[in-house]
Amino acid sequence: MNFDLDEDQQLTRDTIGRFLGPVDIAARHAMRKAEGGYSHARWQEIADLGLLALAAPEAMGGIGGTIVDLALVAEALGKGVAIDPWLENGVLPIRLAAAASDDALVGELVTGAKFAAAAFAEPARRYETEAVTTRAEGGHIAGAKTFVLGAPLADTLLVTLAGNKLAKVERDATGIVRQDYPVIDGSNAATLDLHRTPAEIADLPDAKFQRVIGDVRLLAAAEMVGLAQTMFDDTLAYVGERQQFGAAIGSFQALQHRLVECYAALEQARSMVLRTAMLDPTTDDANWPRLTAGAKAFVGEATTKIGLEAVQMHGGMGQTDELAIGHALKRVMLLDKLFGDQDHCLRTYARAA
Amino acid sequence: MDLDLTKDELEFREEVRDFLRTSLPDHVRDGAKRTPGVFVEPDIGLVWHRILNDKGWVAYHWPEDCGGTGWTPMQRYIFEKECAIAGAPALSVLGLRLVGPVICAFGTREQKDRFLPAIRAGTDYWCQGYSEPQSGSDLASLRTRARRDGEEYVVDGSKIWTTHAHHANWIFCLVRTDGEVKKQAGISFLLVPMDQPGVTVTPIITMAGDHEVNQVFLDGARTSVDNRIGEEGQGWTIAKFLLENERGGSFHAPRLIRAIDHLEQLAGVAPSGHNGSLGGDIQIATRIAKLRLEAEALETTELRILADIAKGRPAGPQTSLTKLISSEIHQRIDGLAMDLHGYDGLQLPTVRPLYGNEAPPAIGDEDAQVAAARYLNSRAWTVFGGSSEVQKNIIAKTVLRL
Repeated sequence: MNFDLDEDQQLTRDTIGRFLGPVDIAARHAMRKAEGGYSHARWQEIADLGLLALAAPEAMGGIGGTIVDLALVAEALGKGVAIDPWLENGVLPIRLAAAASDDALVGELVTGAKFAAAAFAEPARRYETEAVTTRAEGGHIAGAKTFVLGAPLADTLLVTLAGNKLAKVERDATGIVRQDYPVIDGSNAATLDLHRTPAEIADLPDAKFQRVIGDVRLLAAAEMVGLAQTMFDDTLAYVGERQQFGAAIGSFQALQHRLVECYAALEQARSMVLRTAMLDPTTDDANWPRLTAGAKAFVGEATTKIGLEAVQMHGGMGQTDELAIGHALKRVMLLDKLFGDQDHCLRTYARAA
Repeated sequence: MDLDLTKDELEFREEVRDFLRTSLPDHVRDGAKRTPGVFVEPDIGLVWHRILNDKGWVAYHWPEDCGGTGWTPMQRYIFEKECAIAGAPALSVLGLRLVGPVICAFGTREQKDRFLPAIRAGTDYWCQGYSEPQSGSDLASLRTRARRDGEEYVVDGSKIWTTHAHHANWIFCLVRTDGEVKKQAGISFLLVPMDQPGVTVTPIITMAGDHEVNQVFLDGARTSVDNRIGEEGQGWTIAKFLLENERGGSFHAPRLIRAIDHLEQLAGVAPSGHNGSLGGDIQIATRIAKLRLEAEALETTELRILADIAKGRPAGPQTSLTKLISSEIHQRIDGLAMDLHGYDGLQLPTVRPLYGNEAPPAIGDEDAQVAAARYLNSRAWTVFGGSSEVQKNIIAKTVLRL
């Protein structure tokens, strides 16, 4: 048994910490106001750091990181409250492309040459991941998708189809009606209406798709742990500084006990992520999305609680858009619902138990 | 003991219902429904304010000699409940519920004549200068100073979390007029006009992207000595009177119950994604049931306090109890609303308002568009008007005598 980071893992974590630097709220606001809420130039830096290649198999030109390696990246990005959509526009499309055996696309994605968005959710179907209404019709596709994160900036859309297929659609393909909208972490998503849209269609075996969903769930949980760590650290610092009634508010037992509960929740959440990540090699495809659903529900509850306490203990300041804790909480709220909210994930975990 | 309404009360309820049916404009109801902030903006609120004033009902909780209606506490409750059911907007409390009753209780005849009619008419718009950057929960430590200069006060300092200061033409302020005495004893209550060079308002944007609150800088701001309410040093007594009104001035349960009804309807039609509606989902149904039980119990707690008031017993720190309970129910309702909308509940529009011709299109159900913003703004319920921590301290000290 060993919970220490190896040299490469330590190096990656330090590199990410240096790349992100301290949270700069003004720079975040400026980036979010830009077209699409993010930039291709910054995405290229993420690619150049090797963070995308880490998520791709060596056989397809990647570095082939383990899920533990990836979870450490996700946690480090969370800790720095990264604005970068590494999980939803990096790991998810890369692993979908790999699952559909599209080696060429994996290659383009890991170098940052292309930016992709994954269209897996359908309107009125909540968190169900089986595509029903979006289908292939010859060399075209038709249907509707929603919550396509990063779609406004995407060169390529990866659209899940009924019958275990994946469609690769170019940004400017005919027959796409895209409606962009801002989401809670400040990024942009879109709904897609597809009418006889030309696409390259590949098989996406369900077992492989389920594996990808499990990976994203686990990495979402890991990012939430990093986000919660920062919300907790900032709050601990704040209650030590903020003076009311002639004392630092951190000297009040009513707050101390709640902070201890947050600390316990954070440690438990971290343990859950590490435990689940290390079970990956010995977990079959059918069980992986179930284990990761349980982990994500557990971590989602813990980190949401930490975020809400962070906001409450910051009082009026906590309500503003000027602190890292608010931005972190909003990202937690998005990740908490990605591939299933707590109710959905708990049900998934319980049903298969 | 019974929960029945008298014949007169039933007739009054019909009168209120008729009025709401005929007088509440659709665009006002729609604006309230699509406002993610705590209070509606003046473009919606003042329309309804003036309709109520024309009817003579806008200041229904004021004493009759100040322009109130003379309603019994039960009539007030009926009115508020019917307004909640009809979807009428919650009006800004700053003039009607906060400074208005203070002027009624502590103001001179001249002050009442100058200020009360303009509050009722909606021609004066008020904001509240209580919290300061270094004085939140510990309000009595406030540092904004006022010194006498002939027949005027000159005010220096800064106020924060000032709701709708960017709309207001008057601010009521707690200021320190004596730095030598015990901190509570050196505070006075001043009314200060906003339209002068010494007053600067800077916006504070919330996590949801809304502009409701501000920081107000008072830099040599002037106001007449005639605009002091009560005596110098009486400010803390007035402040506590006002805070009790802020916390308990109106009934919380009717709006909460209406919101829960609305959630239940929504769950009844929202797709579960796999089998039928979300209303049939045991996890969702259980959460709604627990909220309903909490809100119904709160309604009865509020009615018990109302019955005390009707019999002339003081309400006092009970308002801290209902504020504490209602804030937390409010947040849980907004949390469940967001969850009901699934991925659609994660949209967070960056433009305002979300009503009218310029509003962006909603993704999914129209309620989904305000869900995330409302959830985020709802965090403020356990902070403003005294945080939940402060309410618990008040209850521990004054009710439990700990």
